[in-house]
Amino acid sequence: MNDDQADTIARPILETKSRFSVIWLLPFIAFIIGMGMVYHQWQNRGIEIVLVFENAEGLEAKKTKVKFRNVDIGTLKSIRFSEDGANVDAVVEIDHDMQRFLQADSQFWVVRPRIGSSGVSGFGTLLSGAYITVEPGKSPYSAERFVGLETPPISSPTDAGIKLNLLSSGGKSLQEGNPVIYRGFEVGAIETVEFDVESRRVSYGIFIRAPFDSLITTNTHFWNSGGFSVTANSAGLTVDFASLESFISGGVQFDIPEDLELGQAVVESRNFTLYPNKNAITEDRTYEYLEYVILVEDSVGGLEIDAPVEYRGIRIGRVHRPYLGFHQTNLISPDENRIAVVIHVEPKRITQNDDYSKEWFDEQFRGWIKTGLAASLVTANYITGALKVSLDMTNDAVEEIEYFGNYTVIPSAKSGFASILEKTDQLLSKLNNLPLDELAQSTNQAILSANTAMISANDTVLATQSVLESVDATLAEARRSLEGLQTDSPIYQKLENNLDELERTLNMMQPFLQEIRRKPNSLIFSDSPPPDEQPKGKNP
Amino acid sequence: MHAEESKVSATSQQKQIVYAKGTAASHGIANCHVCNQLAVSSLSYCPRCKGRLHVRYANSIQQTLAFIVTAMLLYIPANAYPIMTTTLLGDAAPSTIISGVILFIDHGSYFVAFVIFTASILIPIAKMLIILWLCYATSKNTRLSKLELTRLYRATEFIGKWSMIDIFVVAILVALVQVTGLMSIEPGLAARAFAMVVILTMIAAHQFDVRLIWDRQQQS
Repeated sequence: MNDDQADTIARPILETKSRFSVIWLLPFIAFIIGMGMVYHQWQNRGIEIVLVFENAEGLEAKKTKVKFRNVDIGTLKSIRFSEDGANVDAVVEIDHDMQRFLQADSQFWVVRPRIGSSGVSGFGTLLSGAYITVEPGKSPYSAERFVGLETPPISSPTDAGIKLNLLSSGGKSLQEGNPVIYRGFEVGAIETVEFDVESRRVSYGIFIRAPFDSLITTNTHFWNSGGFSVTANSAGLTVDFASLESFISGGVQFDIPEDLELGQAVVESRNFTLYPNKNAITEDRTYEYLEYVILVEDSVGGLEIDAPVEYRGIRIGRVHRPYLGFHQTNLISPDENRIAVVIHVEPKRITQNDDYSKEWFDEQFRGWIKTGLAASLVTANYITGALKVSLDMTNDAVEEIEYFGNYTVIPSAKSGFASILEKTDQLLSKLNNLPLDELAQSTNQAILSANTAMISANDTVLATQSVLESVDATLAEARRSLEGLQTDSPIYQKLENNLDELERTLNMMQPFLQEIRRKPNSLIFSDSPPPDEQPKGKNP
Repeated sequence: MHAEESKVSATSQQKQIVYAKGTAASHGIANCHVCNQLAVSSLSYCPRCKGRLHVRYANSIQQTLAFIVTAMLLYIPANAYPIMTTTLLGDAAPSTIISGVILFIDHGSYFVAFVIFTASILIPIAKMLIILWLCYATSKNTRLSKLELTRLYRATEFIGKWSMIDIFVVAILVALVQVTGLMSIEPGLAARAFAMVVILTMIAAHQFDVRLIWDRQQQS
C-alpha cells in the first residue's frame, strides 16, 4: 500500500509532446480571414456592362466613375474598340447593389463641360474629369449593353410628360434642346431632329413636361417661333419674339387657334404639323374643301398654288392648281382659249358651326352661281404681281351651271387686268378732255387779283396804324381823369357817402319790395291782417 | 514547480538527441539567450538571470514556418490592394505597390523605382524564400557550407527591417499631405498587410534557431 503510494507520487507524469505547435493557428487564422475577404470580394463583385460611345473623349479606364445624382455607382474598367471598329466600347463595372440602374431603357451619357444656348453645364468636370452618368429607365427588363448618348437627354424615361412628333417642311431648322414655349412659358424641349429623306421633311421629336402635356389636344397647332416677326396694323408696328433664347436659336410655340374647340387629349407620339409661323396656321391649315374650276381667259402668270380665294376680301379658300395639266385639258389650242384654274373653297374658314356642312355649302354655291356669283383674277400684291381669285356677285345670272370635266365651273367675271385697262383708258381720256388752257388763264387772273388785294391790304395796315395812335392819346386822357378818382380826393369821398346813403335807403325799402313781390296788388289793395293764432288745446 | 522540472528532464531523457561535435550542446553547455551566460544544459533556468534555458528552441522550425506561411498569405493582399489612395481635387487615384513602381519608371525616376522595388518586393520575397530554404536546409544536405548558411541567415535578418521603409514613406505622406479638399493621401489596406508581412518575417527570422544549421550539417 505504502509502496504503491510512493510509486504513484514519485512517478513522473509522462506526456508525449504535441508534434504541432500552437503557432500554426496564426497562418490558419490568416488564411480564414483571407478566404473571408476573397468571398466578400466575390460577393460584391460588380455587374459588368458595355456602353457604346462614338468616342472616348475624357474617359479614363479605372478612373472614370459612373454616377447617378453625383453618387458613385460604378467604375469604368476598360475602353476598347467595338467589333466593327466604328465605336468605342466602354466596359463598366456597376456595383452589385446598383442593378436597378440597368433597365433596358436606361440612358447613359458622358458629362463633359458644355456650352450651349441654354447655358453652361458640367463645369465641375473641368477639374475632376468627365464622368458617366445614368438616367434609370422604367423597363422591367435589364440589359448588359447600352448605347451611350452623345448629349444629355432632354427627358428621362421616368419623367412624366408626353412625346410628340412635329413634321416640318419649312426652311428654318431647329436644334435639339430648343425650347417649346406655351404663351411665353417654357414647357418642354426638342429632343430629336431627324430629316426624313423619303418625305423630304424634318421630323422633330419634342417632349412636353407634365403637367403641361394636358395642354396638347387634337386641335393644338405648333409653329416655329424662331427669330422675330414684325406686324404692321392699325395699332402700329409690333415686333414680337417669344423668348431671347428662341430668338437666337429658335423654338417651338403652340396654342389652339381661337376659332377651334379644345379638342380631345392626344396619345403619345402623335404627329403634328409644324407651321413656319403663327399666321401660317390660319392660312395653311387643312380644311375640308369644295373643288371648283374657274375658266380664265387672261394670263394666269402670278397665280400660285395656295394663293387666296376671297369673297369681297374675306378669305374662303385657296388656289389648288393654277392650271390643269395638258393631259387633262387641251391647254394650248385655238378651240379652248380658257385656262382652268382649280380652286378649293373651304367653308370651315368662315364658319366653325358643324350645322353648315360641306354639302350644304355646295348646294348654296350652286344657287349663288345661278344668281350671278362670278370669279375674277385680281392683283393681290402690286410689287410682286401676285394674283388672287376674287369672288363677287354680279348681275349676270346664269341659267345652266357649266361643268368642266367633273368640276363645277364658277363663271368668270371680267378679269381684273381687263377692267384695269378699261379704267386706265377712261382715266386717260378724261385727262385729255380737261380744259387745261382755260385753267391756266383763270389761274393767272386769280394771281393778278390776289396782287391787288395785297396792295389794298397794305393800305389797310397803314390806316390801322393811325387809329392806334389816336387810341394811345385817348388812353393818356383817361389816365388823367382817373387820377381825380383817387381815395383821398373829394369826389371819391362824396361818392362814397352817396353810396352809403343809397344802401341804407335800399335796406329800408327791402320789406316793402318783398311785400310787393309776394303780392303785387298790395300797392292798391291793402292786405287784411292774418287772424291771430289761437293756442290749440282741449276746451275746458 | 517540482513536477515541471521532472517533466522536462524526462522528455530530455526520452529524446536522446545527439548533438554534433564541436557544438556547445555536445559538451552539455547551453547559452542563455537572454544574458548570454554559458550554463550546464541540464539546467532549466539560467543561473544568473533566471531566464529559461534552451539547448535549442523548441519547435523552432515549425514556428518559423508558421510565421512565414502567414507572411506569405498576407503578401497577397499587400500587393493586390492599393497601398495608398491619392485624392487630388476629388479625383481619387488608388495605387498598389507595383503600380507605384511602374509610375516612377514612367516618370523617369529610376532610382526611386529601384528603391521601392527592392524594399517592397525584392527583399520581402527574398527573405521569405531564404528562410523557407534555411528551414529545409537544416534537415537536408545542401551545397552551401554551414558558414555560408549562417551568413545568409544573418544577412536576411539584417536586411529584413529595411522593408519597413515603404510603410514609413506611406505613413509620412499620409501625415504630411492633408490639404483638405484639394489633395489628400489615405493609407490603403495593403499598407497594413505589408506592415504585417515585414513584422512576421522579422519574427520568423528571430524564431529560427541558427544553431540548428550546425547540428544537421555535422550529422551527415
